[in-house]
Amino acid sequence: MGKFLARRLFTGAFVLFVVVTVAFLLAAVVPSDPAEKWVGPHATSEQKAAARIELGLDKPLVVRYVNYLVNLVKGDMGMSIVSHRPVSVELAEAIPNTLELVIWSVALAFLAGLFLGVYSAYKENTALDHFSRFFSISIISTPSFWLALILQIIFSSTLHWLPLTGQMDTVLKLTHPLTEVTGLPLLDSIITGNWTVAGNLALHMVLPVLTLSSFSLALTARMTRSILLEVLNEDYIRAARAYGLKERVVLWRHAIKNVIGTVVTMLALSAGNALVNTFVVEAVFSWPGVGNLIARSVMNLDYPAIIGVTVFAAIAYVLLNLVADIVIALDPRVRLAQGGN
Amino acid sequence: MNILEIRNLSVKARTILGTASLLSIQVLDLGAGEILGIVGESGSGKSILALTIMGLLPTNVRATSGSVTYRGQDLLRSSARGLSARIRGKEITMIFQDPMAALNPVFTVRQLLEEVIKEHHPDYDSKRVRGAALEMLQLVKLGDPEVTLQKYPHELSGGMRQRVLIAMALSSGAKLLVSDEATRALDVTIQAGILKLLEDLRNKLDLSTVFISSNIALAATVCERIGVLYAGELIESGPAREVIADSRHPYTRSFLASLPVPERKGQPLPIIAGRSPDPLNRPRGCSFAGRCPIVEDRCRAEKPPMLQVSDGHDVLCHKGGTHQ
Repeated sequence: MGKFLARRLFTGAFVLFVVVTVAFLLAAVVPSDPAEKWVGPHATSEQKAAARIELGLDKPLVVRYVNYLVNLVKGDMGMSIVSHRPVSVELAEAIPNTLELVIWSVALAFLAGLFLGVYSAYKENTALDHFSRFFSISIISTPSFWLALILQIIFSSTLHWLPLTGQMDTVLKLTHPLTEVTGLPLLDSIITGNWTVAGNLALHMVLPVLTLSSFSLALTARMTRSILLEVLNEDYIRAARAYGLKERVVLWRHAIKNVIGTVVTMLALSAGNALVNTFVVEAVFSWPGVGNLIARSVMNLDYPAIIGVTVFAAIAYVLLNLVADIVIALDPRVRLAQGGN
Repeated sequence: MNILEIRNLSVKARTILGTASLLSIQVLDLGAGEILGIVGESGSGKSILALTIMGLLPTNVRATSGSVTYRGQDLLRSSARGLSARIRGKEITMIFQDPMAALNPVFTVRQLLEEVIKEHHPDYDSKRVRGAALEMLQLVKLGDPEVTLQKYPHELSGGMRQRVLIAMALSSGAKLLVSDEATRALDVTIQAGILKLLEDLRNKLDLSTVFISSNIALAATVCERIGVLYAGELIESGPAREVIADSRHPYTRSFLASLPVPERKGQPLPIIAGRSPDPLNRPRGCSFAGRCPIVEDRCRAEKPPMLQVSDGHDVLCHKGGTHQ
């Protein structure tokens, strides 16, 4: 297992290197002048020239590239052209907010999708099954920004049950300041017993989490259903029943254990998808996360921030793929095939 | 005393093309401690019979009439839940054609065995469950049971897998074993070992067995009595020796004649011309009429009656017993 992990991490590092290189080169060829953005529209040409030197844009591309790589290894991703703050600081503020959205929506997708899929397969061709299949197909083919808008119209504008946008009511930041423990706001508020903030955060989270999880949820439900239908036809399920095991044990232990590996693998990969989806969802819900950051950066061609977010997304993808590989390697049959790695 | 009695059993499947008649058995008995062979070609309803006894028929297949009585209790009448708790898996058990497919690949032998043992002995503590698992592996004569317990099914050989499956099947202390072509996927030598084991277990545990096989010669060496299935119908049943040496149904005779024997080496094997009737569209008269060498007009018009050849030897044929 150690050798296997080391090999995977090495390939992961290589992938990151390629991503950084491509992102940097793309930013360099895009017809835009960062120095102009840096100093603003009313600057004189002297100020622009000074900015060019300050940002290192006067140096040849290769030098800039090597400088960027060296700084990146040190954790310095440069200054945001728009906010004039270090990209690493902006990312550090945004990532926990996005992570919390992604974690909750993946958890929801996994649990709800699994249950829906299992019952759909178990009650094949009943009303529940038909409903679940129709639901899955509709959700999979719904763009998330559209779903977000519809949810906002129903639950905020019409029913007034849930807040329209934002992460929490601004007033609460002053009346109930949040102590930072893990950096994840909802988790922190629960750990520190700050229930007013926790409740408020949770309310704000409902719609973005629903939007974000919908695709993975529907995909999980469909995958679970089709794999489970195959598994339920296997002789070992018939055998488990023949040997008097309870239906609950047959389904949730003998059948599910043969389904779960594939579903978790798929979910790990679709978590990457959810991460990219936050770019749209956060924009709609004004959620102060990575998605909002990239939206702002792209709009302003803020290339240090763009590369920063790209690197973050690439790292996330590499890690999620690693998780998927580990899950697959946990299958006893795969373990044998690898000669005990 | 009979441990299992089947009377007028009819099993039908609902399909989009109509209702298919899969199994029709007028009389079939299994005595306590007996090994009863059920033979027939593919699609003759052997596995449907096994699944009917086990109550494991697919949802679109149902026993529409008749009775399957285990020790005085009609298995078809008991509610599914009650049946599952009291009889299926507890007193009646089953082993399968392909042990690799019947052993869940993601559990170790130990997990598989101990789970069944715990299910049937909820009072056992974990040490006793472990001991019982070892005992079961010794019972099925698996060498080095301690090591085998740690293995996954794919790490075992075919014969070992079938032994593990038998151990699982018998962990409940079952009295009736349904063996659905349990040796079909095995080499001849391994097959002989498993057959020997089944006979030993019969003597040791007073186990009654329904031995399903497509190999009539094999069944004849293992079983006291044999039933022959053709197109879902039990067409002949009786003591193994009699059914082989003095078979009365033309199908049984053709079936036996088509077996390869050393004396006819080099000659083409005789085949039974024609094919089994469509289960969706069974003929009005005898199912075998279309292929029968001694067919008469009434065979095509009327269902044949069950005739007694001698005590315990029955044949489903208009001309049963008369055409020697």
